[in-house]
Amino acid sequence: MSSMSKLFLLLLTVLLVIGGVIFFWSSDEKKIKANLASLAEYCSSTKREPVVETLKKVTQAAKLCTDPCFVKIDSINIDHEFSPSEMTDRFLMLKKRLPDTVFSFHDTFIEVATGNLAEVITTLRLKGENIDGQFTDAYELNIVVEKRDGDWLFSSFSVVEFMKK
Amino acid sequence: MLLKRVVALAGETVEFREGGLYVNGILIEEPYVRHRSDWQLPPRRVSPGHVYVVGDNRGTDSDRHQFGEVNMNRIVGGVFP
Repeated sequence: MSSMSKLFLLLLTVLLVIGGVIFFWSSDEKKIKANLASLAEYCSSTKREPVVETLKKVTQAAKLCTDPCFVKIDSINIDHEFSPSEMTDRFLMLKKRLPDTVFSFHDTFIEVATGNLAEVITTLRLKGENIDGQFTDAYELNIVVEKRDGDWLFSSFSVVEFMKK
Repeated sequence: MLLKRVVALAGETVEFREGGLYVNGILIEEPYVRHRSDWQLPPRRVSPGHVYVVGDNRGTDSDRHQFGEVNMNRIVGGVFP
């Protein structure tokens, strides 16, 4: 084999490795983003959402989380792990409390730290209507995502409390 | 990323009385506020290196609305009017 052919093969191998790394890294990021979008959809509610639909959504939302899943919200003194059934109950409570609200994630930054662990920094935006009229709200979240059996699941949610009233 | 209005600087005192914003004891006119609140918040002095930020949309309870003193290091930019 000529030296030109060897060089070509080496370059091709390097390109394939780099391409593979980029493909798999971006596909992990895409899967995590897709799960965030699904979570936002399951948490969102319309005014006349049928009860069956609500129950289906909270079950699906809990399935996106690990067993157990850690939740930290200092403002309402939550700082512990929840089982899947507890997560289902929490999602149900959330939807009951915000019955006509759209959840969405913005400014999402994902860092896949290792092959099975990723950290997400994102802004959760709520837009809806309550008895006082329309409202919008936003929270900064740190989320840990773990890859289990090929699926990226949320293992930790922390609301970043960087403002002191 | 959150979008908030800076209402008080380091060293200033900020408080809410029946939804009215007072900075250094003076009521601030806020024509930009949507959905006025009835928030009550005792006076507090803004720490050095921090600013006090509040959103314009104040239709939610004060315990649910994210506002308060924030380190200036966390500010990434301003908004052009």
